[in-house]
Amino acid sequence: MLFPTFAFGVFFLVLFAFAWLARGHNEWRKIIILVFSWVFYGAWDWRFVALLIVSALINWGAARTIAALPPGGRRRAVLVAGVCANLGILIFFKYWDFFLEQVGATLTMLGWERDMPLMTIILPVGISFFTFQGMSYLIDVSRGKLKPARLLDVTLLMSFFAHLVAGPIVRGSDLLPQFQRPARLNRTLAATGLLLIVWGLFKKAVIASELATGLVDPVFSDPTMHGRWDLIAAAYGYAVQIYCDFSAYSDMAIGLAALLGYRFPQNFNQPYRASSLQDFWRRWHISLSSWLRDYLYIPLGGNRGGLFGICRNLMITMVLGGLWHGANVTFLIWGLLHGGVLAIERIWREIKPKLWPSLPKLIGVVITFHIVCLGWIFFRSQTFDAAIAFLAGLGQAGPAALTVTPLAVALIVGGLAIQGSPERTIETLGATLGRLPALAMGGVLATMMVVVEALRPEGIAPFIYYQF
Amino acid sequence: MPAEVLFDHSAASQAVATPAQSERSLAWTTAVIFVITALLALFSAASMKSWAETLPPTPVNAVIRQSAEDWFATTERLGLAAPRAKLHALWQSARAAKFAGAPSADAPPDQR
Repeated sequence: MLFPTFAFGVFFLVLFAFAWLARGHNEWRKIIILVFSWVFYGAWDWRFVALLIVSALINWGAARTIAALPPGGRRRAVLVAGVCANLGILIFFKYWDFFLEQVGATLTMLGWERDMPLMTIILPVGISFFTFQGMSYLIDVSRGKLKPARLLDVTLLMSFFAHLVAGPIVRGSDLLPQFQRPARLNRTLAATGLLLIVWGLFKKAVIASELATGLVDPVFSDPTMHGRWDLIAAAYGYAVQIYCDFSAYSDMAIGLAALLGYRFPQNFNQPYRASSLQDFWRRWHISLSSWLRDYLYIPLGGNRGGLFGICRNLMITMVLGGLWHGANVTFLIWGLLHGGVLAIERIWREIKPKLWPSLPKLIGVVITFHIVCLGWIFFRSQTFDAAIAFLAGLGQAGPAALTVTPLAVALIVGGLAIQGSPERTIETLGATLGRLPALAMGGVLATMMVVVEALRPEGIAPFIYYQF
Repeated sequence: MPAEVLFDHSAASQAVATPAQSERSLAWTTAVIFVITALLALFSAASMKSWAETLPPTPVNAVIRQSAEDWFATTERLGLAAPRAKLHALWQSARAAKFAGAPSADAPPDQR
């Protein structure tokens, strides 16, 4: 069930009605949201719901055990076992076949060919998100930052439909305290939530879908058939598409949760206006970058251990961040590129003579954006060879025929212009529109939705991050 | 209330809405959603029709599909579908526009 569909609209209206009718009974309200979340997730495959329940049970039990044990070896052992259980689920579903393929290739190379027992496992939607959420919950409990929650709350934390399949990675510390008190609504929250839903709908259904079908997919499917201008446009187009696609999901998730009275953390903050890669990672997929910082980079040593240690930790974090997206050499290269540039930025900050002026911000933005675009070429390409063919094509004249259209160029420019809008525009607008009478507010939003409906293509592709 | 409150998870921000304020906000939000739903049903019935067409063929879905088609026909007759249709046509012409040197739509796929 995809957010920007009629079926989901009906689903949410029914949930909204039931959830608020039960507002006097917080426990029943949470049960209603939980059951609806399972229906939402089960629309892909009912077996995935069982996996979600098992995962929640493991994390609930492990957290309670951790909290009951005194600090020491046994407590640490339970934490490690819990984290390994989450990682085990992730590795089994996401990386097992890739691992066996690599073992098979290595054995073949050594002249010891074997048929590997590949399982062609179906990847449960959103598995990378809920396993990371489970791990952060356990670690927070073991660090004493969070008290172990009740089974219902942990299960709802991991199953909540709004963030389940493509984030944000909402941590227990964000959501569990909200589950423990009756949900409240205020007009600013509701108005901003509604605006975020419509804005997300526009970004996904109009900008991302049009760029995907009209430019990015045809060019990336066979870059050798396209000329330099198509390749340049597709590289920029994908940068805009993935931003509009992924941030749209986050916006809608935040908006839907807000309408139910819950607040999710911000996941995007105009990432292409970043003037360094470090700045980019403070603005892009914030819930993942902060997760990697808190649960991987800092435990690895963080900024301690001298320049070499910092660069090593950055590389490890970004490579694992790349592989989090999937078992593919293209994600590995993407992680290496980001880790490498972050390390170079760090080294430059350390060795730059103090009297040298800093780079003008605009130049920093342009350079950062192009490094990010280079990374996206590897991220989007199916294989390493396809990415190299794409990059090689940028330097050649190639076929003259153009796939890029004036509309695609306009959407790319528009998508980039969003990055230049004042920060917190939607929230400010929400606070303003929240003062309107319901009829006027409904009229404004309905007009915007009719425009989106008129511009969107027939059908809708799944969100890019569903595959992760 | 400050706009930043959407991304603030603190207990203080949650406590801003009293039960009475929350009730009033819920009534306002419900009314907004009702207005949106009603206006979309009037001015964007084509979306409902498109969705109904994707439903698997069952006796119940056949009724839903027929109802959606009848409702769309009604909104068309009343001229309510015209704004969306005009905008859609404008968008399609924008989609069809090409740069000089681009292959025409009837060219073979590998030359488009």
